[in-house]
Amino acid sequence: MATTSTHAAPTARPRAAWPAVPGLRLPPTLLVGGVLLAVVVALAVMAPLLTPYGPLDQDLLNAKKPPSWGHPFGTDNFGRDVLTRVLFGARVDLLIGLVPTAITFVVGVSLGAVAGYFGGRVDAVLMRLVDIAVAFPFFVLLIALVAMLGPGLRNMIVAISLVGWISYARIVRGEVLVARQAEYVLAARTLGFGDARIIAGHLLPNVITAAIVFSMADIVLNILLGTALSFLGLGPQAPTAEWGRMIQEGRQFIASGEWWMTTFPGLAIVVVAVAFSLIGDGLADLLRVEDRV
Amino acid sequence: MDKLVFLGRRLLQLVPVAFGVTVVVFLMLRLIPGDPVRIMLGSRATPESIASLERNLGLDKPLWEQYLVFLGNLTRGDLGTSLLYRQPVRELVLERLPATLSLVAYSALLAVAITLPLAILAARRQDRPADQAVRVGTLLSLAMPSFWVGIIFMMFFSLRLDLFPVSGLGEGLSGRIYHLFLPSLTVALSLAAILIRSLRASLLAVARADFVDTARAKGVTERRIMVHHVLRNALISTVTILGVNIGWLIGGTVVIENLFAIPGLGALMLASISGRDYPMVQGITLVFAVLVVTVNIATDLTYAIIDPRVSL
Repeated sequence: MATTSTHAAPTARPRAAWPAVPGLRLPPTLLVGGVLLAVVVALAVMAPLLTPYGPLDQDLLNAKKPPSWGHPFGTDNFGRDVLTRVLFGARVDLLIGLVPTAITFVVGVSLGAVAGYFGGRVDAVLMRLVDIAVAFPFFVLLIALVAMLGPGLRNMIVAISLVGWISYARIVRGEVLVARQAEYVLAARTLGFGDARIIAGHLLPNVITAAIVFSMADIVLNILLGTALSFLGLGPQAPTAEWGRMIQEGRQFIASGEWWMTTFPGLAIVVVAVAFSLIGDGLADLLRVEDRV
Repeated sequence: MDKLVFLGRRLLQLVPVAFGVTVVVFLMLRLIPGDPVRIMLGSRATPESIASLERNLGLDKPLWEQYLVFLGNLTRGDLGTSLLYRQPVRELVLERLPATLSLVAYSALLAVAITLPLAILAARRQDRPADQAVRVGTLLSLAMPSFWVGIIFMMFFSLRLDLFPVSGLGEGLSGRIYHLFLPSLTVALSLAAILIRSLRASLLAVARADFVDTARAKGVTERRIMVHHVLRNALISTVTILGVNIGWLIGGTVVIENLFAIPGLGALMLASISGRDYPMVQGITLVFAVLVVTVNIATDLTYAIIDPRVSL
């Protein structure tokens, strides 16, 4: 990796300077992704103010109506406004993306750091767990876990958390293995600092960037996994407004040409996933640039 | 000889993994809140049926003994009995396996067929419009849930253009190729996005290597350099990425089988879940793990064969 970056450095084109903060140049992907995400969050928070309908309000006389001025995304088979449900669904789906990622980040980073730092038996146990976890197709394991725990939003988050920490543990362990040989760790040890202080105060700040960059991709992954589970009926139950569930419910009407019930919730997933991916790419860019300086 | 030692060592590493996998699958039943037997039987529960199922599943014995029985059954190829179909899980799984394997293989092929031209195009036109377009394409492809892409494909190719069937497996080889095209393409797209990113990056890295300059200095044509020198070396890392992601590919088939009504393992798994047929869910999960492990070993071997420098 080091060789590629030294090769790339001289040929890298100068970036457009973003003058908002002097001295800090934000990659455009980070900005675009950040703005996109901010818009989605704002829409989710202000959902009740933006639409005259409730996410569960049925209007059977106006069921399965195509997009119109009154219902820009059309209505579903119960006459519920699809736009309203997409807006309220953002609350659930952002939760599905963020909560498991936060849990697995904390658990995985801590375990990975401890295993990498102490090595030995702790490390061996962790690595065997990793080997076992990657022997399963991730999604199949999730489906099986949710099937056993019982469907629902909470169990879905529990299942993703049970398996998801592995990636973080792997990443951080690898970084710590290298970093613990560094001089600053030696210096800290010479000064008589305790292990906990060295890990938390010295090692983690130096190795955490990789985990942070990965966490953005992980949010995307968790949203895709969560909506897929929910599409299979294993997530939040009806009548919750959630995108995967909405696509599942609208699916039976595609043959009769009612495309809007499935298309719009799907587009919402794509927008949120693109936003987090762009932020991830931008962060990777930004942190790598800082590394070089 | 070296390769044999490599294979032996690789298989030896499998022992703890196989052990762990069986423990996980075995313990899965314990996650069921409450009494699993009552839940499995549901409205069919009578004191007699509860007692008999408990005896059948060995739930009246201590946990470690239950595990040993489970393990012993596995070594004889006995995956248990389906509560729903009242047939051995193994028979039902073997019946459904070919459909899933065809879907996985077809998707992998399509993914490679999409990856090669696009990655080469992007690498040769680095930072130019074609490259940018490929990059935006992979970004979008990774952001789209496959079940939604499948629905969009159905609406467009099957319902509007009437080009492909919406479901099923079809008869004979040509029927299968025709019926499985849309589902495989759906699975292939997200995998292709990952492969394109990695192959593009390694093509660019290899293109800077000294031996490429040497080849160019000898007057080898650009086309020949690309195919014989750059691509050949870049493909090695791509094979690894493909192997690593085969678990994803296999996992992805579950949703797609459900969507396109393909009678494979994934569809069986979901049906078993709604029927609370937990022994079946256990058995299928185990078979999926065996598939992934097998593919991973195959990848390592391919890796060792195409790259003579490797002796892990």
